[in-house]
Amino acid sequence: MKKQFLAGIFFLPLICLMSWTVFLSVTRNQGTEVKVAVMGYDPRDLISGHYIAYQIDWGKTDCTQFPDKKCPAREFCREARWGRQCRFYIPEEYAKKLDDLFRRRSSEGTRFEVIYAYRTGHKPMAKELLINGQPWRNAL
Amino acid sequence: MSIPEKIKTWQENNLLSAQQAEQILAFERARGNRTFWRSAFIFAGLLIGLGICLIVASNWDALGASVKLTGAFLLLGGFSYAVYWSICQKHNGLKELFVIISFLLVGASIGLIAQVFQLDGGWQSFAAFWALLALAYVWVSRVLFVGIAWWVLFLSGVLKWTWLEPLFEHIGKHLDATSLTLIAGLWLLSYAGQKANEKLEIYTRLAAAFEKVMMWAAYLMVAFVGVRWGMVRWHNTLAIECFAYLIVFAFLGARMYLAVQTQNRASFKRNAVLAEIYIFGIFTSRFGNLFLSGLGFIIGGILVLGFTYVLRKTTRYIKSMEAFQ
Repeated sequence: MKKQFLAGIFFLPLICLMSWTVFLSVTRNQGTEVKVAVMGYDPRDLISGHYIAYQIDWGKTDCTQFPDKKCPAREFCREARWGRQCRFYIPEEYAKKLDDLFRRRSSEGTRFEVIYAYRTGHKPMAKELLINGQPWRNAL
Repeated sequence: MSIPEKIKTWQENNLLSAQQAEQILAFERARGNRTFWRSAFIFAGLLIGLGICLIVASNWDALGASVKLTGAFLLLGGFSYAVYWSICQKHNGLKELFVIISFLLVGASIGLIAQVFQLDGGWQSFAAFWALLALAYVWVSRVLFVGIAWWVLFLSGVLKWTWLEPLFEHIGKHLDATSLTLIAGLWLLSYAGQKANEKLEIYTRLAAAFEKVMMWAAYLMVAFVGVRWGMVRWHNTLAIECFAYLIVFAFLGARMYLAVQTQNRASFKRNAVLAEIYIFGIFTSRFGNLFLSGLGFIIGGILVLGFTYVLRKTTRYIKSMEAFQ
């Protein structure tokens, strides 16, 4: 009995993580896809892994995609020191290229957008990064 | 004096027979080997676990998300079973290896899930979740630094920077009862950890780790006050400087007094050395400009020699003190 309890305790984190993965997967697939325009941000964070940090440009986003035709700004991204900060994780081998492209977007007229899976009352989940309307992998 | 030297001295004074001496030496040799292997397992565990974290962080595009997730879960499942197996087999060295890897794997898995699903939770939610899920592994570890790492992770996850920032800002600008209260509070928490450890040590070393973390936090707070208000001369008045000195020496003095009461020579020596370092720091901060010259370098070198001599004398004296015989 004690051994079974011990085994259960050590496998509990794995079960929690697997359940969480299933939940996130279901949430992402059930949400409606909405496209939001993004602008630059000053990323300062210790979490490892490469990402583009951005803010959502609600001025350039089509709010008719959302229920009540209103952009739910507070539901997107987390509050950080300089406003609401969002992240899109990118593979290490493309990090520099994408980062440079993102930083030069204003001067080169490059349009960055992110597709989110959105459901009212649930945290929106980023699905894809678009560069000039194309998935980022095709654009590079 | 090393153990073989001590044993030789005891034998010469007829306190130990040759057979007893041999038995003690054989026992210590065996223990030393176990210590070596245990340390090797711990170091290997750290390297392997950190390596996995770095691989996850690089976010390989060559592998699909489902492959990465399946691989991570299989690894975590495998090492979780390994922890359970090593406990059943009573193999403590391997247990620590698998515990450390599992602990780091939990963090790597959370990071991987965040990457795959593009989550932007931030360090606090990440740290709190990691600490919560890894608690079971840390509970069974007898390695103190694993517990310390867990407490640092847990506290960084639950203590919001928005609560702490105003506090540190206040202490940085004002030397008042708030600083003393914080130092006293941290010391009390450390004492609480010490008392909890007396009851819980046979089950877990988390209480001992909490005691260490709180005591280091208290020392850091005292060092901050001592340097910020005691040595940065051009910001302070003499009264504030003296008050800062009082805080530092009162804290270290109290620690030394408690060390004598508890016959803890190591603690007494540590606090005595810190007090000497602080005195040296005050001295050099007063004559800082003097050292910005060739002559200053020479004087500085002589001072360092003098300081080292005083330190050695102090530590030797502490060893011979009657209070610790």
